Amino acid sequence: MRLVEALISALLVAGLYATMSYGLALIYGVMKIINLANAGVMMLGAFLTFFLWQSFGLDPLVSVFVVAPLAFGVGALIEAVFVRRVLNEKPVISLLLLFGILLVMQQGASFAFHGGDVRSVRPAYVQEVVHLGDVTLAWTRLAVFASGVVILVGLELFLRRTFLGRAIRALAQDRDACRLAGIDVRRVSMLAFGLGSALAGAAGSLLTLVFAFDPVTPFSVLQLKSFTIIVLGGLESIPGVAAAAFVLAAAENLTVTLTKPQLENLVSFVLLVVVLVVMPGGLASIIRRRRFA
Amino acid sequence: MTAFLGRYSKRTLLIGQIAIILIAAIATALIPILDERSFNLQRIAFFLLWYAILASAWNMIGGYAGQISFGHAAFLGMGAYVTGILWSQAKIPPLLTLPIAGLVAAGYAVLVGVPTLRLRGPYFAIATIGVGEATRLFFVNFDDIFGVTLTKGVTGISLGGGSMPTIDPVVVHYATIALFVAVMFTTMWIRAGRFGLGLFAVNMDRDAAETSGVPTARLQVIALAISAFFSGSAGALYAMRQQFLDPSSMFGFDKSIALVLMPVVGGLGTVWGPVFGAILYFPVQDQLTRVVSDPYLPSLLYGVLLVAIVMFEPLGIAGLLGRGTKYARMLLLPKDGEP
Repeated sequence: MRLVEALISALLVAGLYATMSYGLALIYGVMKIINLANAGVMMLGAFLTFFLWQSFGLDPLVSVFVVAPLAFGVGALIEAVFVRRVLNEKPVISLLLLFGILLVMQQGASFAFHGGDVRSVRPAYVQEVVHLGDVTLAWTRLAVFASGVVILVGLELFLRRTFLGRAIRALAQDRDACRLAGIDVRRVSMLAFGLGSALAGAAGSLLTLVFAFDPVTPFSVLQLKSFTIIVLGGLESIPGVAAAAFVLAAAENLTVTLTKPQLENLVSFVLLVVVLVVMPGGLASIIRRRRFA
Repeated sequence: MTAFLGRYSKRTLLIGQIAIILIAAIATALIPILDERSFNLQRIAFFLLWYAILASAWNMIGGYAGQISFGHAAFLGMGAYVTGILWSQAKIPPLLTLPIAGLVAAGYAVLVGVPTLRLRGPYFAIATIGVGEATRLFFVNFDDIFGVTLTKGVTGISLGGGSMPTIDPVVVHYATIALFVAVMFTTMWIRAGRFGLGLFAVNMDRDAAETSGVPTARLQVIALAISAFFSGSAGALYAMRQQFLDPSSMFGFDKSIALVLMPVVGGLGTVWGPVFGAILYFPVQDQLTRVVSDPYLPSLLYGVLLVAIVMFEPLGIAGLLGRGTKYARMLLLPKDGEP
């Protein structure tokens, strides 16, 4: 029974894990860079959600619709002002640049919002639970999971059915061919970076329901988890990310249930190394799903 | 240009660099001889050299091999803890543990490097973000996991007291100078030698390097191992000097930032850049933490600095100074003139 409960609770966490990792996979696919600033955008999203809730009593599930467009703007701006200029340099340069941007966001927020203060958003339904047979589930986790599923479906539809989505997938496959086909590579790159950041912002909104946070604490660890997830998922595959998010959440839950809770954060690193040794292509290469690209 | 400068000036350049290193070494070595009570000066000299060692070590993998490591504090801390445990538990004189600390850190680096560096793509950088955190957790929970009392978790271990062998601070001072000289000669050898040429080739074009028979993955793993060896040895020196170890001082966020910041600010892939970075970083950090009460402001400034350097002068201070004369260019810039 504990096993079933652990797996269901893993599934619920996986919704959040997947949402925060889609953006990374999307941006890596299109630009072949690792967006280290992802955690920074997520953190800004969480803080904005907190302030919206504090000032206007806005529910985090509603403020997603405010936070995501703003995060889109932040991401597009980062791409247009910074990332675009170093795209043709060695990968080292973009990593350092985004590390610097992450530092500025994180430490700037710590400076502005009095670093150590831990905040949390607690709407009225935060304590409510749902009983499914013998299993008890927190309403907030269900809501976060449902939002994650909606975002996954919406993203897949967008990438497959719209022109811009197809352009993004095409760009992930072959940048030069896109240029030849008349796709505005710069504009689509900017939009992809914005979209990836919007997903990070949305994840930031959602996580306020589950975690208490300050500018650094859950985000650095979550960043590491999302890296494990995209590597496990095959770096650019959206369904791969969804599956990998579940695998990581399940591995963590089992570790916590069966051994020591302190080891939870070690799981993602061990899993990362195991994946790199055993199947560097990630789940995407195993289940032979087509890449989103 | 090479034809114009010729072989003669290349040799002058080499001798000049060796002279600078030795003069710096002798000058620092004289400090405790001239004034036994110059503790503050000795502290400054120790940390300047210590940060220069760490920055140069990071530069071997981050600059020459072109693989960014965000988790080098792991190798530093690994070395420090090896010395700490051997010293406090096995009662081995700490100086003898220094090479062991370096070798253990190098072995650990090979474990991390082999799976990640044989792959193309950003796998190494991603893995190193985890390595730092995982190593910190490992040492925090070490006693719990193995049911022993060795690292004492977050409380940390005190060294040099009780029945442990003692070490004279002046000996640590000379050991630090020796390690600094070793790391500088190694960097010069990498820049000038065949091994470094291979690394440059991999960094510039991995496909072309592989086609010409360069063992790309192996070279990068070796570079990482050398880098971790020096980082681990530096960790051992830290343990001997501070005689206290805890996870937050070894694996803290400020260490990870410093290790990336110094070589980048100084000049990636250059011999002298990391030294410039260390000379700039240590006094600034020392004064900032004293003057500014807010702990986040320094890191915020470092972030801005990092972005500015990458956008405007990717070769950092070495790049700026190297624009001067032909000799400055040969002395300061990397082989291809680009990072």
